[in-house]
Amino acid sequence: MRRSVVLLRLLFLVFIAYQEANAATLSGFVRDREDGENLPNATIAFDDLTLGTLSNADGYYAVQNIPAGRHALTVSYVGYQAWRDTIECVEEDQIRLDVELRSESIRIEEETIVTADRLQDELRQQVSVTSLQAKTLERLPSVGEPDLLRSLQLLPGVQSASDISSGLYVRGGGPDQTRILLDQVPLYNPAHAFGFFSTFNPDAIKDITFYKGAYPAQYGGNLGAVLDVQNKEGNRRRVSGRGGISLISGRLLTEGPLENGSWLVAGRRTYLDPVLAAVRRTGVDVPDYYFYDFNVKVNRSLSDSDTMVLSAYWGRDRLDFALDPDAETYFNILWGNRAVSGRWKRVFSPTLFGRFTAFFSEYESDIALSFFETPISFGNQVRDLTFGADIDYFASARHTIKSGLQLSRYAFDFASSFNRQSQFSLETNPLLLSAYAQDDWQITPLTDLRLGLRSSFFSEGNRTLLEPRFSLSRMLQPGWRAKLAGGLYHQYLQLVTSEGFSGGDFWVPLDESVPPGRSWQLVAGLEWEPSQRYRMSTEAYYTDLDNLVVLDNDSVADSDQTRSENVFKTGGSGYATGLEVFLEKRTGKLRGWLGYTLGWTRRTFPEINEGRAFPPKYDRRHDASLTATYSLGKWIASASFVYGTGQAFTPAAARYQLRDPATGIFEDRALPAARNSGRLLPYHRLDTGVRRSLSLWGNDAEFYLQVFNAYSRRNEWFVQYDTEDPATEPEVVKMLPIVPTFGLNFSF
Amino acid sequence: MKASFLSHLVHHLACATALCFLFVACSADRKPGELFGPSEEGVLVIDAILVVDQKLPDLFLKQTIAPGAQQTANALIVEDAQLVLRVGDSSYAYTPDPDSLGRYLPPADAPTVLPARVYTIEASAPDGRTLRAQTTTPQRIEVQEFLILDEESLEVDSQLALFSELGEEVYEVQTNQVTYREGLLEVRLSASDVEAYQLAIFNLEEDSPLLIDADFLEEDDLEEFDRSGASPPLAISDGNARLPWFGIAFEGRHKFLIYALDKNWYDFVRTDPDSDGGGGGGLVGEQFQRPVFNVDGGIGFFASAAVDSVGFTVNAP
Repeated sequence: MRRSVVLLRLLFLVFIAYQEANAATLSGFVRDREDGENLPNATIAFDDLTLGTLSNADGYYAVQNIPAGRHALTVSYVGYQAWRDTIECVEEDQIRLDVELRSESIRIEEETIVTADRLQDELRQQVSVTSLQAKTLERLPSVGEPDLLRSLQLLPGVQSASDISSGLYVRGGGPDQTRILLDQVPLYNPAHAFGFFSTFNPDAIKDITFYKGAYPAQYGGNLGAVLDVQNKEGNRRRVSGRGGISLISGRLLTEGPLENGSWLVAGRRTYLDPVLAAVRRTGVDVPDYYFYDFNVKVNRSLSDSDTMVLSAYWGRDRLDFALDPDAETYFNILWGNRAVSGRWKRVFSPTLFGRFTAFFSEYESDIALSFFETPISFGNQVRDLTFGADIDYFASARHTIKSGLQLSRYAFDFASSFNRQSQFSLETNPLLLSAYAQDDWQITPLTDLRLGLRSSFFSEGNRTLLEPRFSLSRMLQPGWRAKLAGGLYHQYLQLVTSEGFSGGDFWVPLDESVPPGRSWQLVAGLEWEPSQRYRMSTEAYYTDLDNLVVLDNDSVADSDQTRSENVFKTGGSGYATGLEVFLEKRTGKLRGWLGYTLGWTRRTFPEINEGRAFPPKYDRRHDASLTATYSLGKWIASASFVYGTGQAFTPAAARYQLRDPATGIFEDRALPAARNSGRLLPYHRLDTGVRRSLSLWGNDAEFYLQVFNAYSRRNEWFVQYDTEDPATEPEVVKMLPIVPTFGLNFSF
Repeated sequence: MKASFLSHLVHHLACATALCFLFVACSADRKPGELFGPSEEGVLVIDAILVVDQKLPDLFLKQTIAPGAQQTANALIVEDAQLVLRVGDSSYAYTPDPDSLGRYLPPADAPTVLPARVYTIEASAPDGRTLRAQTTTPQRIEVQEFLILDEESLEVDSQLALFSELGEEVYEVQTNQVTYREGLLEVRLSASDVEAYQLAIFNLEEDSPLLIDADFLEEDDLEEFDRSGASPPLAISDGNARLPWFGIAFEGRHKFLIYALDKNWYDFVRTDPDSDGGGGGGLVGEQFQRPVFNVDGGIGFFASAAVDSVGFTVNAP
């Protein structure tokens, strides 16, 4: 009954929106002048009216109810010069206006950029969302080459598990609680090199939208956060390219125009394998390892109103370690993602924009090892075939209605065998049908409200769930904005992973024996922009978690029980709460930000820690980051510093002696204290980098030198107890020391 | 005004933060003792394994010591404790072994352990500490066949003799002479309703040569190979237990035991971070966890199992 009332209210809002007077309408696309790329989230604002909107994910916008007369219009986008003109409107006029913006790199006018920033921020009504551009990533120091996920770890509320992990731990949630999308297609394991790098090619990225929490109804499927990455569509004006050579890999992107469209091809591959082969020839046992990824995109306008986009992603990691072929002892692992998508975008009318998508995403991992002729294998495949439709209806000057429908057919296949005996085997093909509707409602010129509802049906367990979402934003006075957002979230798919090793990750759906994970999120924020240069924001969040599961490692090794209640420890609950402060300087030679998070996270499982609450290892009381870039002519210097409370770990509380019950041999043992009741030393690290622009055979290029962990702080990673020696103390395993890297980027 | 204030604030904050953190960064070392949790020394530790159809076993009663303390026999033992084992209406008082501190011996006329019975142990130390645990013994199990399978086709290559057929002669007969890493060794068991099994392999020779020889193993690695080992708990739901070749490292006679576990044994080995037999601890967090002991007033295990075994001799290729 209650659900019906909510639906009726939403329908009523839609109805009201339809009823508003329909004066002139202005619509069109916002694009980059240089390469023709559509610009999402660009700001379209009438200077003399309280009218404005943001372009959608495809760069399309529509403004309704424009009164007759001449009006000054400004279109702006971060990093671009604002476009200004006067528009003559008559009643019921429908004006199509495609706007092209000049990039900042063509003519740097600081105030222009700032104006764009301010307009965009003032219109942005959502809390906990961060929009980043590839340029920002490039400037931050990194290990080897720019990495999206590692850069996001510098934001407040986002943590990493270790120096070698690019996994995102967002506001007290694990990596599986963040949905990661590439061009709207989910990637089930976005990691190369066992998590060291992400699968995102930095050259191909156009736009990054990162919801740290309370994400809107258009997204679903995960308990915590959403990372929505859009790749470039290709240069519509000329053939161009860019690439880079680092110590680890080489990458190349080329793009160019197509009849009424564009194409893009990007690839990246490590060249560690010949180096490793040379090391092996000296008699040292090292594995053979490489990774690669490819992105292809073709984009073509069929008419003024229709555009087709085809894209594909293909990434693989492979490690082969033949320890002794004669002894049949080896270790091979392969994993990767493949995704193909087709999208048809249509402007049905100036106020109705449709997007129809079909995609196929596949993740597979295969581990094959053998010790002295005893083969062991684990194989996992997740296939996701999805058809979806999204409609953006610019209903009035005050209402933008978004709705969508998505049908996904999954195929999960997991099998393991030991010594040529099949053990665990799971094959299941669930269906997920989801629909959403949300209204972006400008209640007053100073108050924005987003109301949304998402509904989903999952065939495993025949579950239908409703998820209300909301986001409220009010400008208190010029420069000050208060925000509040919240929602209900569920997760049907569960990642099974091990600490610090992402190569063997696999996903399984939760069946009818276990309810899906559930979270309630509430976020309140306050933003202050005292000037054009600075922005300060603070957000407090609380997430209530229930029906959590973790892999049950404490069952028999050859279990053939495939029900979720047998595979997982169930009935988990918990919470994450905290306060984030973000202070940013956005212009000038010196730019950067300071972020700080004060947080608490707890989990409770009946079968863990005797049912008592415990902090997960990524619970951090204090987490701070400071990033800065300084431009001086052709030189750009950058630095980032991170500091965090040490990770939680389980210390030993006693030692004792007990026989191995099967062999009868006495063993010295350590008795663990309460789970995660100890803390490693605080983590801190300084990364620095310097870049210099140069000309290479008439083309732009850039040489860079970066130093990871500049003062070589050996941060603690984990504690190992060795009880074989009666006098042995625990050993602390440390993370990476100083790692200098250098490379060259170029464009043509 | 506001911008100026914030500009100064940002610069001061940035400088102060950087300086503070660099100061803090001087050292990442600390005393290992700081890595221990609150000490739980002096907790009673029971160590008792009842095996169906075998005599009541010797028991061990010890205690925990502080995590950083030197581990010595004297620190671990509990002397002069009273231990009573009960089954049905019968009770058996254990007495300290004068030759081995911490070991307690059953009465001379102790009976054999029966299947499907509830056994209880009660221990009390002289200082008043008490401990109690209970086990229900599993039903008997029986090895029905011991086979060598072809590695590729998984067809039966040969059938080996069982103890029930030849007794200790199984080590000598031709059928039980096995060439290292040729075929798959498989034991087929009678049906049982236990939750889990555990397998153990024992090389019965004292100094037979090592069979394992691989390029990646150093001299030190070879010295660390044990003449016994145990598997993690296994369901063996089809009744066929396969012995992996990496469990065998030496030439000579081998005894392969199959334990059908009671709940206490199963709970302990499935949750024990040391159950791989490596003697090491775990990583941070999820792997280093307290085992499920099922002991009131202490830790350890009071567990039972039914067992059967096969014997064979491994020869170098």
